[in-house]
Amino acid sequence: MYQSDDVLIEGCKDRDRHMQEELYQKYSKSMYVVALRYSRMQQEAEDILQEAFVKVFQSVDRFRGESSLPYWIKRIVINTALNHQRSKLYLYPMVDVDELRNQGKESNVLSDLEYAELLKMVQSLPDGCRIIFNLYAIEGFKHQEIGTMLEISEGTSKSQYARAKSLLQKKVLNRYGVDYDRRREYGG
Amino acid sequence: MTEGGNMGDNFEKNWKEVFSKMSEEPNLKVWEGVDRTLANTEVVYYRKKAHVYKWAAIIAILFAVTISVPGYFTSETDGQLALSKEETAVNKSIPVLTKTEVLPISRSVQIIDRTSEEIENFGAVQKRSVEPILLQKKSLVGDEILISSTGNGNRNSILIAFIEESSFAKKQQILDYSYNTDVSEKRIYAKPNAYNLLRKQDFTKKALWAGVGFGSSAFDPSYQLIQPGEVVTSVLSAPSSFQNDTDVIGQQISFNEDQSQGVNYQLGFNFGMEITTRISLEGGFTYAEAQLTTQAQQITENRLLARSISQPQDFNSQTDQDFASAREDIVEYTSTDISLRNNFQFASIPLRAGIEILDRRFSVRVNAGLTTNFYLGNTVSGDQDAFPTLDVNPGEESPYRTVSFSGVTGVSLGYNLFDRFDLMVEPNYAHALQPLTKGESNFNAAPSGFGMIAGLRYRFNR
Repeated sequence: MYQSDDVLIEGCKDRDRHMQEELYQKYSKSMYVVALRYSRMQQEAEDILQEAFVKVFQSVDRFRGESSLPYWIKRIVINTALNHQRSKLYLYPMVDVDELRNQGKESNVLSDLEYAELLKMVQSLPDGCRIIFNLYAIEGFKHQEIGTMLEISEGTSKSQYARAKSLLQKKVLNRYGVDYDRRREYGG
Repeated sequence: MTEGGNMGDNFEKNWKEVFSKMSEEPNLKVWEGVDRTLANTEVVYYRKKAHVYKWAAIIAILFAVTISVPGYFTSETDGQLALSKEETAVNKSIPVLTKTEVLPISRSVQIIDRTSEEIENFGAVQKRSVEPILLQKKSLVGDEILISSTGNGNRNSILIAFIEESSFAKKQQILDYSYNTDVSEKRIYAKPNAYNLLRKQDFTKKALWAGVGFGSSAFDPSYQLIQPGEVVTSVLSAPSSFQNDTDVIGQQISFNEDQSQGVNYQLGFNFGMEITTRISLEGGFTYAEAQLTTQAQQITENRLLARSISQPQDFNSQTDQDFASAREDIVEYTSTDISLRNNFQFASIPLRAGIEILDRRFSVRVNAGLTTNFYLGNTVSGDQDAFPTLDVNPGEESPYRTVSFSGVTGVSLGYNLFDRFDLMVEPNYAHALQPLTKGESNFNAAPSGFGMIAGLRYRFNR
């Protein structure tokens, strides 16, 4: 059983190594998945996670409690991941943005699939697509915000996302025979 | 980014749901990397802090020495200038003042003779000289004052001139005077009366004081690993420190061991007394805690034993059985970076002598002495579960001496806040006169470091 976030934060502010370790144990598992999503390989994700938690402990004095602790840590992990990827990013606008308009209500077809397989699919996306997919679909950033963060145009963000979405849909179809678009279309 | 996210499309919603539920245990080496980085950061932090202390102490010491050395050498001339009454009674000749030329001339007045006036003083009624007398008063630090004249006036005219310069004379007490017509310079020795009395009263009143102080200093253990051994700093050999797998036979060797410079915090009280007008003795009691980090690389040799034994019916004797046992040693080495926090506790009894350089509202005293340190313990804690917190208490099995000595010197700067209370600040330097560790230990540590102490002093009889 872990201590409450308030207790952990106070301990970390006092540079209590036991509290730091407990905070790490409490949140490292979920943050590792975040790091994995932004990385191609496990080693890279581990580097991101390590660097991010060092930043967390070194900047914990600046945590004001305006957002939840896991949300704050997640932002640091994402920023660290973006810094890792920034040098590799070469983003160019795509043409097709129509798929962004897909709407529909159906059950989550992905929930039946293996997490590890899904993670591999995300990791196999090209660097730019992968990052924008994560920022938009998973983290919930707007394309305008993503454009500002990555210093690209909003249109580039949209087109990269469309490509990522298309690639993932094909991968799901190829791997599991689940046609994501058809299920949406026929409500099944 | 919002904590809710983009919820407009099921594609995003589904992927978000999948990953929000997922968690995965990262490799243990990630935490080890975080831990090592934090430990290194701490070391850098302490080093920077120690660096600041060191330079603050150096600057303060240089400042104090700069202002005190001239005063000290100036006051050395006291002996030559202090002409006792007995001496002057026997020998009215003028003493040789070898350092006169270095004394600052505080004032120089030229008194024009007023021949019509008669001034009675020193049992003499004299008319003044018609010639100007150049009167020079050479002020010495806090003691006798030499008044000399290079004019043509006689003894009494010099005296009169001296008396007349009332603002100066009122504060002085004439000790004696010398006059020699054979030399061109006439000299009078005066003692600053008011100051002297003040000093006398002051001495009887401020004979005792007590104070409290707190401070911090660098704690450089000057760590030397003499012989790599089974343990880190010899303390982790305790059975509870390592949990060996019973299937593993092997040994652990620590090497590349080092202790970073740490910080020493101290709190204590002191009391002192003046034994002469300028020399004082001071003692007290101090409790101190020093925090520093030990870093080492540990190699563990794991020797795994694998045996394959033939069927029992094949054996004719025990020897056969032994031969039949195929034994294989598998040796593996694992390397572990270890970072251990040390928290030393000491009780210290300092005994110091001080030379007073300045004693006004602002005071300066140079101290030096010996500190007896009593080792109370060292709490060693690791960052991993494999290294539980361990108390290294004093005793025969401890690698540390129970009693050790260190030399300490410092410059005590005081400021009289109000009434009997002085605010004290003392930059100092302490150096171990003998190692903190015992001779048989496989490592050596002789702490030293610059520091700063601040505190309040109460004078019992101001």
